[in-house]
Amino acid sequence: MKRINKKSLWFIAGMIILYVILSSTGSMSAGPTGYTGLEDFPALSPDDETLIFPYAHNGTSSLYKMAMNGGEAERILPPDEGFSFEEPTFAPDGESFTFLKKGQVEEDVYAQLMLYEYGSARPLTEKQHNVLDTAFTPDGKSIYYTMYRNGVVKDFEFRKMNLDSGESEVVDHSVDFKFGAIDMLSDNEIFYLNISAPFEFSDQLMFADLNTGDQTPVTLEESYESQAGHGPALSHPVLSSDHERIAFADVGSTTKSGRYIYNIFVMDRNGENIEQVTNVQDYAGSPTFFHNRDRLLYTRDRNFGTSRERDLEYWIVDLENNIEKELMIDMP
Amino acid sequence: MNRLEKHIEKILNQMQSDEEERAEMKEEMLTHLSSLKEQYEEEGHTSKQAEKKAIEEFGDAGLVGNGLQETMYPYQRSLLYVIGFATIALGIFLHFAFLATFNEPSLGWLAIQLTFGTLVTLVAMNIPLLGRFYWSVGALVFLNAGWNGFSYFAIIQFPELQTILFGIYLAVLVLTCLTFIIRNSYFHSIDETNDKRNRRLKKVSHIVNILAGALICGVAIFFVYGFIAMIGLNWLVLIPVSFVVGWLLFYKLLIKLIARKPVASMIPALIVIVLFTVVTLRPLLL
Repeated sequence: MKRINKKSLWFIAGMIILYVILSSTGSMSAGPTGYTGLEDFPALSPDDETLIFPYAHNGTSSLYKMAMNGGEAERILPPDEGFSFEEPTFAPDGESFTFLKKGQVEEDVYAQLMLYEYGSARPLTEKQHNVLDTAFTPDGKSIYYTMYRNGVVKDFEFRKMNLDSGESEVVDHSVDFKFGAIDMLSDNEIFYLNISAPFEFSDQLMFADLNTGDQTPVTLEESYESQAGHGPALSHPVLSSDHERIAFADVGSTTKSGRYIYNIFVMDRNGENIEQVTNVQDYAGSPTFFHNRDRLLYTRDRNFGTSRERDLEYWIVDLENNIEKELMIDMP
Repeated sequence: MNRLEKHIEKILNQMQSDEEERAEMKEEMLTHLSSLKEQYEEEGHTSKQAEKKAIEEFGDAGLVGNGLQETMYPYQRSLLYVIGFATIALGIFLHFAFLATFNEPSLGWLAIQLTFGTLVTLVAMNIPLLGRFYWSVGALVFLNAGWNGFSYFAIIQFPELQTILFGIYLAVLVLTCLTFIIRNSYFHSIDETNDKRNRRLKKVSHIVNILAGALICGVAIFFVYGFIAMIGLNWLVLIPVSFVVGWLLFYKLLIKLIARKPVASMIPALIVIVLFTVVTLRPLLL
């Protein structure tokens, strides 16, 4: 009977040595350092004069503010070990703002809703709640927010909190799966992105009356053709201050290799007159309307699709002539 | 065992034939060697001299054995070497790509990649010993193809150019694995009595069945990735993995069925391929 080839033993030994050598070279690597740079979702004050934005150092982001007419950025909150401060939202009076304090314990991701006022921040929700989106009512007295109660999708909740009393209640509103990008037109009128169940690809922009439950979908004009594989991406939709226009990010074109190129689109609130207002060749997202000027602030990622490491910049596009200009940030 | 039988045994030890084929070949070669020996004895040589001359004329055991291996199972050993070394090389390339992209190695990934590459190469080195276990060898190469296919979900995190290059490498490697498996199963399902038409039918049947298996296991691997990406590594991953194991066990039976009824054994696979095609193309047709 043929026995095992003796060279096999040498080969196995060689492979073990190879693994040891390769793993020892790996242990000498620097290790993951985390992202350092601008983060998504900056917030523009109601008078368009102040920008609050998250900036990450080695993967942990803190909040900074900067005057829109220039000058050095100033850190608002010191970093909290293991937590990132993200997604600021200005109150209508521009004096306070909310943000999400995000952290991870083992595999559970938390996002606690915080309110910054009078120079300090206080929590509005429990630590274990994973808050997704927030919107002030126009009078600034209440906040609507969506969240996963225990970090799981099936526990999706839509809630309203009275900021004076700190009490919150579940808002009875029909949910297909979940919704996001909420914006309040009045105390009871809401604009949001209705998000379909995974793989259904039927996300829908919606206006709704929370008192009557009436929903008015925004039907995109028929001539509009998104280049996204499963219909328009409708990423990060926002409503203008006069509630007449909607901006969103979508796949406007693709590279030769099929990589998506995202740009910002603006349309009327009824889905008509869709116009691509940016012309980047990588990624433009999280648009924000200026409140008093016909401009749009957006985030651009030059490394999108070409590197795992992001390289975010803030840009402003003038909606009258579509001229784009980078907003230079002078970090301390 | 006499000298002639020992020589035949050495020849057979170079080949991956199973016991049945081995016994047939042994009988044929023994008949041939014995007649040669008789010829030399008739020429006046002693029994020992006649045996020696017959063996010399028959040829060196290593050369004859390797020649027969390549004649009966052409390129199979070479393909195994290619798959094994390419899997090891991919592990090394991926290791440095992980370091360059993420600043940290993936030692678990490297260990699995090198283990698969080592196992396949060891089979190539010991094909006379292990090649006869054709289903086990096919299953090993199939799992190797599946693991390399799963690596696709790692390489899509690399920069675009690296993703394209690694993607091409993976595609060629997986196709080479599938080619080996089809040939491996085919060679073990044919015999001398099969005519050309029957052999062609068997070949087509193996191609269709392996293609169906690749589709089933490809979808299963996608779900494994989906479960891991969305809810982390947990027992739910065993559900799609069980489909891969189930198909491999089913294919063991199928190889035997293809040897007897190549057309009938194609039907389940064809149904799978048609269903997969309809589901995939449905959005385009609607």
